[in-house]
Amino acid sequence: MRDARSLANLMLLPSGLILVAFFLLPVSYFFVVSFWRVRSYKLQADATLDQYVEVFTGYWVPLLYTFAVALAIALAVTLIAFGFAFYCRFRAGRYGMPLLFLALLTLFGGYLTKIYTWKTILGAEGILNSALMLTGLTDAPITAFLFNPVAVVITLAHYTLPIAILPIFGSLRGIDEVPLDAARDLGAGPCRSFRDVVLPQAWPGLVTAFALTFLFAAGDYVTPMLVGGPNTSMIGVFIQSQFGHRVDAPLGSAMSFTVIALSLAVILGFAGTTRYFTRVR
Amino acid sequence: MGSRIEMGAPRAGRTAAVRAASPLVLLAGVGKSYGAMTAVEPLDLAVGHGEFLAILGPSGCGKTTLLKMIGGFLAPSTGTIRIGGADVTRLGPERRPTNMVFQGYGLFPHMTVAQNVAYGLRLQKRPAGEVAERVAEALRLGALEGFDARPVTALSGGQQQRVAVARALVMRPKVLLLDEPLAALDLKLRKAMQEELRRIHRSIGGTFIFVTHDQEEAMGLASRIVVMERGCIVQDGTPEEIYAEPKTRFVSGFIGEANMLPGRRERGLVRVNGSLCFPDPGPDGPITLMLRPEAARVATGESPVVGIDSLALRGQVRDIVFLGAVTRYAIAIEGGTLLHVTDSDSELRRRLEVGVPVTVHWPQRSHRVIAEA
Ligand SMILES: Nc1ncnc2c1ncn2[C@@H]1O[C@H](COP(=O)(O)OP(=O)(O)O)[C@@H](O)[C@H]1O
Ligand SMILES: [Mg+2]
Repeated sequence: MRDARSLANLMLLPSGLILVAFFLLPVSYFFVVSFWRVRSYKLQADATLDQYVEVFTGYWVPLLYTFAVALAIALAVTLIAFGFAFYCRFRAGRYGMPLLFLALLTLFGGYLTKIYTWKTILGAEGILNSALMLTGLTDAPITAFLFNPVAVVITLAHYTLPIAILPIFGSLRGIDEVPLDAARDLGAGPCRSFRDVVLPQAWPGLVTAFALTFLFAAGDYVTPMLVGGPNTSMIGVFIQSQFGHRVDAPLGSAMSFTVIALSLAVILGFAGTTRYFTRVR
Repeated sequence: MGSRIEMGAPRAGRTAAVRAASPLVLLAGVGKSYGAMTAVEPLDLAVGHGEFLAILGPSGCGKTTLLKMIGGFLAPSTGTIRIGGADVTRLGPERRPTNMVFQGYGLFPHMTVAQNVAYGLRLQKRPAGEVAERVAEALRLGALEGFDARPVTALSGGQQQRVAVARALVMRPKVLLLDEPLAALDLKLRKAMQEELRRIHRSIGGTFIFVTHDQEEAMGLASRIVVMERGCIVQDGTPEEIYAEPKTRFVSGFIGEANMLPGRRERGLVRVNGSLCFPDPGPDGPITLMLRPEAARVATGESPVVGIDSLALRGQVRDIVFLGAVTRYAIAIEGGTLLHVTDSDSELRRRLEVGVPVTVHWPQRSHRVIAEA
């Protein structure tokens, strides 16, 4: 018994070491660095909150913008993913699994591929504009499709959708169908049994899907750069540039930890709110 | 005294005639097909107030389909269903005066015992006081006091089964439907739960319809058994009737153990296994002689004493199995057919061993001659 456990611990050791060396240590390092400062292009140890003050005074617009976009993406994607997973699980019958596989198949197309796909679709010479002009609905290409927040939302939503479907489908698959019949037997209509039986059991999957999507959207900086245009500067773009050409690791770290803390707050907020609405009454 | 949980129908003081005249559940020509596949052939069935009815049949014969049509989970392809006089054929389960104990129970896994039991009453928006009172009552009836706050996932199979029964009974259904309620339990627990269900049925006097493939369970619980085979009702009667007078070969084979000997009837004379011949009025044609293992005796010696109206077949002991209260002998009769006979006589057991020549005999009234279609 004890031997089995110590063997299990031993086998966990390599992955534990990797986690500590390549995740915990760097993250802790940058957490410490976020209280440092840069003097004449050199890192200086310090214990100052200046960087955080700078984040909230100088960068609150991109911060707010990032969270608005990420929240919109996460909410929309979670909702769509739930609808799709629900259909696969409860309505599609034997077509459920093939349908799910089809959705997950899109994960094979890489991240950048999808961004360029949307550029191709929404761009001035893109499919959408060609189609509009071909049908004579417009004379000149509409440039407004690309390089705006909506393009960012569409692109990121498209990319994260299959990632969100998976955990939701996982939790829906665990739902037995007999209790659904039982709820009807006890007087619940379709809506009540959905709210009282399906939603509470799907909740962990919903929160996981929301968290994955939200974190992905809030941390992304490639999509906004490529399809977002000059005015859609999400915080990831700024963080990247602090560590890149501006060489301000303390400010970059402070931005990162602000985003982490606020993201956690949003996710907990989502989890709490949804738990409240799916609680057993 | 008596529990305040009661089923929503009058019961005491009803004569059998009144019961027969106004059945609580009335199926007329009810059948169900899936495309070309017929799960339940159109059938008629009347269930009276206070009955404890078993629908018995092998797996796949359409029991669940029939029960689900009564409960409103499946729409019948043909026929009408009336409960308490009202036509409910087109109503969903949420609008029928029935409640169901599901195969596998179907408890809400994210709720406690009390929340499970209270769910239906909450939906009816009953006042909190009434809900609490009726839930407590139902838990008491299911011997589940003190389990209120337990998550149902932390219960044993037998406890979950009782929660399922309490959750249905708290609704005071006119008819309680149970689908293989004890199938998932081990033998010992099954016996205990049978008693539990009988006690509950006695104390509330409601109408129970349950489905099972286990003939012992049906015999032990029900006041009336409907035997189904391939979507049809093949016999309907009390457990005693069905055991003693099975109408078909299938029923006799399904209910309890039985020896089956093929034979023919010609002009009122039945011939079985070559040597056996006795008068038995009825139509000419092939027949099956059905003999229960406990109805026959084994005798030894050259010319054993056999009753005057008894039948006898000579044979040889092939196998002896000691079963506790009784011993089962497998006896090969002329022609090689094996007859099974059970006997509790320990003296006989000492005298018999494999290979000994014996005579199997039984009084004529204890076998049944079943005409083959
Ligand atoms: N949805 C369905 N589609 C097609 N055939 C079904 C369906 N449900 C049940 N059946 C068939 O109907 C028959 C009766 O099923 P069921 O009532 O579940 O049997 P039982 O409960 O007696 O084991 C079976 O042969 C089964 O395969
Ligand atoms: Mg069944």
